[in-house]
Amino acid sequence: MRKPSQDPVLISRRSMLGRGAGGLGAIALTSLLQDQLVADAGRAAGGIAARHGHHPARAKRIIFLWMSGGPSQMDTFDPKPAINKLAAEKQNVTEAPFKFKQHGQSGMWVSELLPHIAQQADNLCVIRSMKGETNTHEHAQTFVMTGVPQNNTPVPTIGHWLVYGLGCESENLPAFVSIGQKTNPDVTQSFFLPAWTQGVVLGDEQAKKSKTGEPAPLISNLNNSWLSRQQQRKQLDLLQKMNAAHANGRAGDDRLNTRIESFERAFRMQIQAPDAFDISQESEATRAMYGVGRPETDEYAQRCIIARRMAERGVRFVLVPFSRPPKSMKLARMYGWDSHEQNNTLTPILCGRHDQPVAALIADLKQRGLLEDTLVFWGGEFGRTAGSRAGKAGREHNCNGYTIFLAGGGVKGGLVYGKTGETAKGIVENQVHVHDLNATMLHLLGLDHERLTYHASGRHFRLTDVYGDVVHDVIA
Amino acid sequence: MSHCRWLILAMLSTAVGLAADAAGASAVASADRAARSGFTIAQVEFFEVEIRPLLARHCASCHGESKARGKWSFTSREALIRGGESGPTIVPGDARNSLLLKAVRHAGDLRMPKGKPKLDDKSIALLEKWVAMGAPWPATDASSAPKLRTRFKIYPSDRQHWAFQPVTRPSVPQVNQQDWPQGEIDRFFLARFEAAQLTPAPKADRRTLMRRLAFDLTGLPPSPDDLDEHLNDTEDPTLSRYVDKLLASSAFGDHWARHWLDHVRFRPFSKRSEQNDPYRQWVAKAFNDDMPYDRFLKMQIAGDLMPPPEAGKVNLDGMIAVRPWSLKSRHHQQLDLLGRTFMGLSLICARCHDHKLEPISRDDYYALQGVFESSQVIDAPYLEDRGQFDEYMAGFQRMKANEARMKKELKEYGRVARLVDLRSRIETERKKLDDPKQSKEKVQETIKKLLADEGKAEEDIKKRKIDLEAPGAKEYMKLRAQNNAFNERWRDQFLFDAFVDQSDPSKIADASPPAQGTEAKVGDDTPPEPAVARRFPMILAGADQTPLGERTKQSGRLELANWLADAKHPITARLMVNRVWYYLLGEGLTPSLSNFGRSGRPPTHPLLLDYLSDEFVRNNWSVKQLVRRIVLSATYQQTSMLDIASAEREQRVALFGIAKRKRLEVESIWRTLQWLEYDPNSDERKRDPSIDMTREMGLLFDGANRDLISPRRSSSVSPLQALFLMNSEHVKASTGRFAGRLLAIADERERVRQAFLLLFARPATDNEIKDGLAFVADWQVERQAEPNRRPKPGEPDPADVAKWQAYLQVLLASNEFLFVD
Repeated sequence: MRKPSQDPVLISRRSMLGRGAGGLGAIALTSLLQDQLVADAGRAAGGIAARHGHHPARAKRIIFLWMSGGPSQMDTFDPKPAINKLAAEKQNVTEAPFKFKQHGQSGMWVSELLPHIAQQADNLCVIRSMKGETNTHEHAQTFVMTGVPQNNTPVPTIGHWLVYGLGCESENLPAFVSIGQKTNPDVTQSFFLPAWTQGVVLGDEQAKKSKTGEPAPLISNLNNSWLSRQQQRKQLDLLQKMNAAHANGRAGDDRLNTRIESFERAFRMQIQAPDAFDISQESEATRAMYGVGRPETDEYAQRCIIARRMAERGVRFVLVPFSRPPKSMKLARMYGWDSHEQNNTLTPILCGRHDQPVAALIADLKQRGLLEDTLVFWGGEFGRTAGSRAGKAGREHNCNGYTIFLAGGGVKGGLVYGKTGETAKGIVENQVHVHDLNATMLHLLGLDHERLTYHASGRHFRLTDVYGDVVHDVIA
Repeated sequence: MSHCRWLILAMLSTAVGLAADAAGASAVASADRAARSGFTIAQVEFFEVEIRPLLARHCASCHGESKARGKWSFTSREALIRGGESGPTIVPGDARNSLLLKAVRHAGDLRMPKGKPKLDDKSIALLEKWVAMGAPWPATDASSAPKLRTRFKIYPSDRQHWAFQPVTRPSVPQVNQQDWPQGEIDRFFLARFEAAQLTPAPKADRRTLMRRLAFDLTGLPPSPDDLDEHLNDTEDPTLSRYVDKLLASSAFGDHWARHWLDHVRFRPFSKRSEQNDPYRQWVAKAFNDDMPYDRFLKMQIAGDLMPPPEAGKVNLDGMIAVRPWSLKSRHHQQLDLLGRTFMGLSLICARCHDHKLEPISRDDYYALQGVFESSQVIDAPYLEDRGQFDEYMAGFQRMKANEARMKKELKEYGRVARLVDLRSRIETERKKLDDPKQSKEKVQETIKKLLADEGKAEEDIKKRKIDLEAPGAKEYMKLRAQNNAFNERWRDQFLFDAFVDQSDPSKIADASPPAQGTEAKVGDDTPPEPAVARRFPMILAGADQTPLGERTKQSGRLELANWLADAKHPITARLMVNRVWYYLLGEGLTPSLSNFGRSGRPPTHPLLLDYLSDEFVRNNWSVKQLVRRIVLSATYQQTSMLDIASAEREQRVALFGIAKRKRLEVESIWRTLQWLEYDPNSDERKRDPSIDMTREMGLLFDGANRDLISPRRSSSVSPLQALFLMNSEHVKASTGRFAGRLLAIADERERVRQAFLLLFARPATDNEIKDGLAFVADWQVERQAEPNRRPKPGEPDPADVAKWQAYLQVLLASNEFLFVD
């Protein structure tokens, strides 16, 4: 998949020597962490080096398509014809006018608002019976990502846990990236987990609007404004010579080797990371497939292509937040999918903005053989109700029976799992709690959610708290 | 909301090996239990450190409490002697005839541990030694507490828990290697170390020690002048003079304040940088002045209730201390901090139910919550003078009262006030008509609008039959003027969140716990339970207590503070001593730094911990004396460089028989950068590190999270750190200034030497000088920002700066700089 770089500056005589002598890379870094209280000691001790989970994995990485705001399930994947009948009778129910059709061999029902994603029906595992714990955006967003239904709680997200558990496959990219914008919760910290698990926001759109007006760097400090690469190589050669001399007589302290290696990784990152983000290297056909260049899809299409390029390069967790709708748009809200007003105007616009990029991502992963070991998640912090505040023709928050989908990474394609009530409020069959979903995702990655623990603040922490059952029904 | 659930989890993951708390090795308890068991303390300690972990790791999962394969049980000495299906497991004093040894040696049919690899030779030798000794085992207590408590009960084993015993001064143990110890600390360390049949590591060389001392005490490298002065001071073998100099420098307080801030979720007041925050400055001053630690604690809990330092002053320092940080209304945050930072107990778990791991009841929790509910947070002026402070507070109260009246009884006269305002504005505008600079048309336009408004307002007042001349109207105007004057008078006054007793006496009251299980739900109407009288946790203070505040009619914080800071409190001194040990030696005498409860881990050196705690209190709670004593010990001064196998290394690390190499903390890194940029002897104004830089570095180099209590920092290594050191503009600026400073030295070789001295506290070798000079000579200055700019006289050539900057950046990025041996 990845070719070793032929860039001559990358391969220095000294770094080769260092590698031979120190056995850098996949060594066990037992003292990387100072905290003696680490429970799953093997995990933390592994540092950022890639390693296996607790059991054989079905997927190696996750692409997390983050639909913040709460997409309307009855307008996308969970048809509710009863709503229209109710809407005729009651003022505070918003009708659901969008037509559903069956797609693929599985005959999955998908709304006409998602024509491209519908083409991927046989790759999707749609879960209609998701259960959350809170109907407040920030709390629910934190809950889905961290397992704690309380905003501003300093706890790590599923991305951090994944990196903590499995390390990073890429030699020159961060293990956890978020593309295009900051999210809630803020993933750029590592909370109580080691700092190497922290997420990196690539090209934060907010930062672009800084005083200088220059676009934000994709990774901070990735570029040097005053030294050439050859100059830096010279610096690193001297540095590593000094470090090698320093290591003399200090055997048994693996932090020293890890740090030597971290400079080489950083140096490669400078060269190869920009390449990884450069979507101009994609063919015209690919760009068109994602919808690059079309005004409504351009932004998310770019993010999705970068996500695929990250996946190809071994990044463990790629968070792809759905771009905020442009402020000029009348119904734009802070969290994109939050259709409290004019749901039937807003939802089609948002669907149009991401349908093609998401479908293209799945198709593209598949044609490159990546879908097999890449788990794609699509979903938000909750779904919506049929009803609305009077006169607003919108939909309210609903964490009790909402829809997400998974694709690839060992899940059953063409499956619709779970069932909700007549108006999508309440779960009738096969409830999947957020903890269950997180347990399942970790399971697919080869991690046992009950064993992936970290001791902090006097107790053991887990992504799934003390809950969570793996939903074996959705696993192929 | 989900605190409670973690507990069960924590409990489930408490493997047999970790549940060593039943063995609670406190000095007193273990002495007592050793005596009752008939073994010496050293023998029992040998069992606790070497044998119990072995049994727990390799035997207990099959021969433990829940199951006993082959009827062998390893839960007590008696059970081992009683044995199982094939006879006794051990014969004390007779290793050869002990089944245990045969089984682990695979000498017969019975091969243990079953289905797992054979134990290593060293473990087998330890077991043999133990059985030959007579299989020492501490006396056990019949009624030990269950691991998971279902209801609140204080068991005898709780009362015997090491951290709940009073500190008693242990006698100094005898050691074999008489000439090694430099003081009592060393004797305690060595006795323990000799029991493990190890000899201490050699002493670190003076340079290494000076660098270690400088960073540990001040967070900065040793200065070349100090190296000059103290390296060859043969009359001072332990470097005590250098230590005293470091302790007396203001950097000591800066550095140690930061340690304390980690424990209290420090966040600067709004609009204040960390450096300018008054609380931070107070903490730094407290460490620099060596404020007795008991007073330091008391001030932070009840400073407002304690007498001010002198008459006519306000005890501001005390009032800013334990503030609720960003969470004004959440007592559980305060109680969590009180519990972990001040008491070493995870009180917070008892918020929703009796603690499942500790002898702490839900009532214990709400008994303390009452103290905090009886206190409040106010916006107070940062004014030390009592007169001014009171003037502000009185004015503030009056303003609040005025506002209340204006909003309620005088509400209708608000319209009158607005009318008066309108009229006065019309007056002002009319005056403008005489001013030639004003555009007449615009002014007239404004007046026209205002007149229309006036008309409307008059009509409105008439319709509502409000009397313009009523006394209420005059009153309203008067109050308003008063408030405006107050705001004007104190416009630029810095206000802070002061923590004081409730001003309304009726609010000084006991807390009522919510109905069981309803803690997290908003809007639950279940009536709360009856109030719990304010008191201290029963496990520490007994059942028979005078309710707090009963006598003083205060919140009870003062009593709480006095109780915590009492010389006889079993935890307070030990907790601080253990933290100081951790910051100096890299690990605590017990690693659970803020958990001295039963779910924490017992100390490896209980006698030493008690000795130091006793000394700490005797020396009037002097932190500086404590630090001094520790760093002058031979134990602290051991080398970190020993070429040994990893098994021995682990054993040495666990028992402090080797110095732990430390990665610099983020504050040390940026403070050193700042230190390198300026000549300490010049008057140049020092640039504070920018907030951007400290924030960015804090995230990258494991700085403390402002929302978390951080008893310990991790020290990770990541490529993002490397990118920062390679490419950050901050690093560029710092190294640029550092280079400029170095270029004042004419001789190039001397520059390299100086850089090595500053960063690594050692002279450069000839080869290193050669490499450095070659690097600089070879450096091609390619991109020059302002190629045509000629340097001013006295200013170094930019090309030279660039070369040396590149070189210094390498030195800064090196492992030798970032790690302290």
